[in-house]
Amino acid sequence: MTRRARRRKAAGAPQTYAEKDEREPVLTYIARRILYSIPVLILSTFLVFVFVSYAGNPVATLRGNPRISQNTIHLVELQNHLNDNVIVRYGYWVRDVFTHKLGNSLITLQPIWPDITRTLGHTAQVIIISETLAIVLGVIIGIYSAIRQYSVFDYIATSFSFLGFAMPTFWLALLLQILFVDIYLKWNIRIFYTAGLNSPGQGTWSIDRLQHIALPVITLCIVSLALYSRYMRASMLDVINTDYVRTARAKGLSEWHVIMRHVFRNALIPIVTIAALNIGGLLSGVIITETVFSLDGIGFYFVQRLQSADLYAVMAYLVVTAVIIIVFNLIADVLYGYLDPRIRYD
Amino acid sequence: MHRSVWILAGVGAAVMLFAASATATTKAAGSARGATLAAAPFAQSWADVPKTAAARKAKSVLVFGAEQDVAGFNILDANENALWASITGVEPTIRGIYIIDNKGDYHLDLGSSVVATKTSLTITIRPDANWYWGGKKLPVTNKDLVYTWQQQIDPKNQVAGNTGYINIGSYKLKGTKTVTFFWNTTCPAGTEAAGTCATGPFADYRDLFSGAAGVMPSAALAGLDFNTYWADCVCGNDGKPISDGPFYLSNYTKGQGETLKANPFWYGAKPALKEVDFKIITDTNSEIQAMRGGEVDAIYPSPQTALSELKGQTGLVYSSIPGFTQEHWDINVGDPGNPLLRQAWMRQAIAMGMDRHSLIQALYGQIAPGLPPLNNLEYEIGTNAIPQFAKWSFAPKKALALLKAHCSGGPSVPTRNNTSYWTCGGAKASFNFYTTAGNQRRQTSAAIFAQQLGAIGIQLNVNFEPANPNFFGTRLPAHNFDLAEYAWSGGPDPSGFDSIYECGQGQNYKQYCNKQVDALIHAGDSELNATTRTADYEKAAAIMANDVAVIPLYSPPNILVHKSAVQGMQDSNNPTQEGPTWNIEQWHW
Repeated sequence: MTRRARRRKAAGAPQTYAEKDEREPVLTYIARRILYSIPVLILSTFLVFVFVSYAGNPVATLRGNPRISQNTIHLVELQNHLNDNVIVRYGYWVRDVFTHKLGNSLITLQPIWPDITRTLGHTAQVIIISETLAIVLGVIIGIYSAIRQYSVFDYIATSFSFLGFAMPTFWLALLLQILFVDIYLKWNIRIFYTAGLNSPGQGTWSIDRLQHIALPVITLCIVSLALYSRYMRASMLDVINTDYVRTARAKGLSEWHVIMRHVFRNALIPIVTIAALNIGGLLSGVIITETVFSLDGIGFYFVQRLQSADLYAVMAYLVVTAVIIIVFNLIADVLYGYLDPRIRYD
Repeated sequence: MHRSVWILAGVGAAVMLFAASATATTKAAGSARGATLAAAPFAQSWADVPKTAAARKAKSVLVFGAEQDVAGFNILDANENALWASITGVEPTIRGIYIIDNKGDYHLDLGSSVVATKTSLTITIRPDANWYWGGKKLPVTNKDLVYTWQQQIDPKNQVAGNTGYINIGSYKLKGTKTVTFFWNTTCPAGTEAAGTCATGPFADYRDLFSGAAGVMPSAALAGLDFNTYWADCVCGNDGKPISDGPFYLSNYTKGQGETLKANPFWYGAKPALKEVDFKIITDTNSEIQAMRGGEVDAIYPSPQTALSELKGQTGLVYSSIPGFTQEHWDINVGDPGNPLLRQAWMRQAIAMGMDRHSLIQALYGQIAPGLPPLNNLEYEIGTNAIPQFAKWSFAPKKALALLKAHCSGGPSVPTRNNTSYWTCGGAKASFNFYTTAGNQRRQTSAAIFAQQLGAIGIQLNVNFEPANPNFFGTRLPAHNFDLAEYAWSGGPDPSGFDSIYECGQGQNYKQYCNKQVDALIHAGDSELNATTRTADYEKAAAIMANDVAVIPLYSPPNILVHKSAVQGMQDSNNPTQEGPTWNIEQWHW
């Protein structure tokens, strides 16, 4: 609601048509998007359930051990409803999602939810730090590249952006590990650790914890940094050449005022939405990073459970990540409309 | 500018709060019903672990890199029967009547005497064996043995293996330390076929209540469900750690690691280390860097070529020995396999056309030089591993001579990239080979052997498919293959291989049948005299080698790397399921 609309409301004046339009479409839009998401979620979980069911069988691994009795194999089949058809098994899973918070692991029989919250928290910590760094640095680099277009800095930043896009994540992760181990071996200085989470007793944000997650953060940050710096540069260049910016300059405003007050503010709008979309996408990209650095995150959890054919745990991961991606996509769309009044919700 | 910045800040703060709260409140879920783990999380314990090797040495602490997290510590449960659960949580804390050393020899440990006869098995527990239960001292009694047996035979429990335990029908207690178990003389109808009962003495009695499984604490586990206890601790029904070994599991946090602390009530030599921490590092490359960088003091990695980086590095000791896993080829001699494979000369020709040494060199030459091929189907390593299969070592000219005597149309000499294949009695010497997909070793194996067999005129049609459910779930049980490569998990005692080699047994996927072998295996299974027993199994192995029932390839090596400053680890590389922590009490700086 604008300041003018708030003053009118405080004075008891009736809402204008424009003010009413400002409120109702957003809520309707959000509600409609959520409703559309439900069948998508159901269909995607069903398809994934079917694929994962046929891709893995908890009993098959047991058969590889000649010491496992047939009785045990039979018990496992009964417990996992492996003798029922896939639709019936999907029904059991849906029931467990609502009655047992995503159910129990088919392998360990332990609740899945504590594992999900634990690993999601670790992953969120890494992603948030890397995204924050990437956004801040990317915006700064993008602004300066746009202001100093075709300068040496611009060319260097562009080259590093392309390098960041092209570099495979796992290769960069391994390289960083070797680099910092060699630094330790040569100078006996421990800058960063190469594996594990190891939160210290003092709390989640201590130096030791940051030393452990620094390399995964750097790995994830570099690709996002390349993305944001390029988008910011392009967005800045779009806005810098508009009429109202020319007008602002003509009015005699300082260059700093023009850039930060008019150009930057409007150029930031696409970045906000891209960041919201990127966070959802990072959830899948983080699998490789967590595997290389042995981080107890949700991506690594998913890989471990998939290898064990632990169907319920795999489905739990997929449901959680699907919901997160849907939410962040919705946030991106709503934010975009909110920040840019020219956008109307349909 | 204000609005967008505030929105960004608000979203960021909300997510950060969530992340921080989720991470900060991480705690291990208690596996005992109604009880939560009383020990502090690994994180808090880890905060006190010195960060450098020198500092760890000063405090008698050792950090061991664990390559896998555990699904649970109840390794009697089929779903939790994993090596790392045994190594990190059970071996140092739950002892068995016997312990198996690094050479595969059995030694009395928790038991002071064991007497096996044709009718009974009498076990006496050593008088100084006690449980450490959350600081309390309780004697290990014969009731613990009875409890362990009862859990193994309970049909509701998903036990990893009840072989031998189902031979026991009743028991008699004597005092608090001795129990006599009586072998079944008969079984109720249908129970033998169902695998819930067996008659007669179980000759491999040393593996009962022993090895990595051990004796369970009956009082501490009272009221708990076998299928769910010890999911994240080795503890009693009150959540407090329990142990009769040199260490107790003071805490475990999923995905991060566990801490073992010295058990003051341990009956053996007092451990030189006060604490051993296992840090979970699942990626082998990360393990290597952690070892190089001094983040851990020892690792027990799965064999990969990258480990050669650690060989010869100053300050490290590198050890590799063959294990008990049998990587092999099954040869299907029944339907619907190729009828040519039912001919002994064809199987012999295939065996002699495969250079197993060259495969081993390609796979493990850099990390386990000198690793020999597997040449005995009952005993993988040790003094009993007589190389009966060595007679079928690589001899392509002999293989060609055999094929020439029975077939036509093939090459006259071993020829690289040969395309002329033998036709034998109207059937082409072309076989469908299957193995698991996504396994680099087996891809190399298939490529090498396809080329070598092709050179002598045998065509190999290579197929890779997912282990689950295709390969192990449908193809093998349906005998729908000609040749198949996979591995069996073995051990120092060959009992347990019955279902692989006996006529008509469930895991005899190759449909091999030799009544003489059956008789010898049965005799060995019930022979209590160790010498006679070994002789029975060796005769069976010799016949199977002669028949070329399978083609044994190799046993993947077990590798242990540790800092040279750590003493007492020279014998720790134990290829049995005891793992490297079998003599953890001897480790010291």
